[in-house]
Amino acid sequence: MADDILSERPSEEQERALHRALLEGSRVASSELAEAYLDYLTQTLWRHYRARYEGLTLDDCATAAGDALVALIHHPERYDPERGRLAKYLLMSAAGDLRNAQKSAQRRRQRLRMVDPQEDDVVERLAAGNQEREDMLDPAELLARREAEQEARDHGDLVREMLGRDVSADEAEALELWLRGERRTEAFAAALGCTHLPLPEQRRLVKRWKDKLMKRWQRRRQHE
Amino acid sequence: MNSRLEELARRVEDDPAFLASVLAVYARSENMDDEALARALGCPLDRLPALRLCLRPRPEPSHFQRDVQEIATHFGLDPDALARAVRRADAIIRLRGDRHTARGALMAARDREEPPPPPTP
Repeated sequence: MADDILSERPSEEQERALHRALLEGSRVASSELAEAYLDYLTQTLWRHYRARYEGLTLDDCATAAGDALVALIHHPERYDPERGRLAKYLLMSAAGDLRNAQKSAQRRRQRLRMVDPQEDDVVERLAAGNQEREDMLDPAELLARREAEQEARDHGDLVREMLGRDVSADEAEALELWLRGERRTEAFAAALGCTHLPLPEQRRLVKRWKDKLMKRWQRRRQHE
Repeated sequence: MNSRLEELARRVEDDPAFLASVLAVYARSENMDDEALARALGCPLDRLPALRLCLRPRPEPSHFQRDVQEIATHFGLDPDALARAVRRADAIIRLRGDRHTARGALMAARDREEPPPPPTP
């Protein structure tokens, strides 16, 4: 992967000298290494992986590149010049870090989507670091909520019997939607008669209604 | 200034192997921003990130002066200023360590304290 750009980097002789200096305890070799390779590694990772990993940023690439450099600075003995060029070694090391970081990030995103396909905007907001939405939940909390809801749906007849008599006609319609596994905010907003409100407000009302429903269900179950 | 290099230099401020960690302690103790630090060391401001990414001089007397000289020569610094900065930071770090140790010893001593004797009738 690295061969196409190795010519821009220090020569093989310079690489060996740099590595030797690190091994011999030079105080400035670490700085020279970072200056020689940080941008190269960052750009190369970006070029090779931006199409592969959703949401990958240049900063992610720079972090992985920095990690690979710091690892080599701490353990120069792990690189064996006889087995290949230093640039390639660093690139493989950085690519490994990047792959691991991106796989973790993707697992987090997939877990959120599995829990609730309608939470895509939550994923995006989380990725953007935007915490403004009131119903923003961390993945574990979201999963727990979805599991509790699924458990309630599994007892659909019981839920109808226990909660159905206490709800208005609008709520009964929303309850049926919910028991059928409906997730779309607009469907609940229509049943609850709040489609005239702005979308964030609809979301808030629907969420509040669902939370109330779950609390009532859980309370009733405890009393049974 | 290379912002990626600068960011990496900031990241290694927590790593005691790097000169960045020592310079951060020194700059904080003197209330210095980057410009003041660069001036104090005789280092061009745009070379500060690269300087921070050097390994710190080894403290053993057999290495210290040579390591300081190597860095100073490479970056065109005043070696005495660099040596002073490193020694001062090391002294601060040692002092903090001693305080932690002293506090730890005091707490351990308190843990070992025997309960007061029962009141005599």
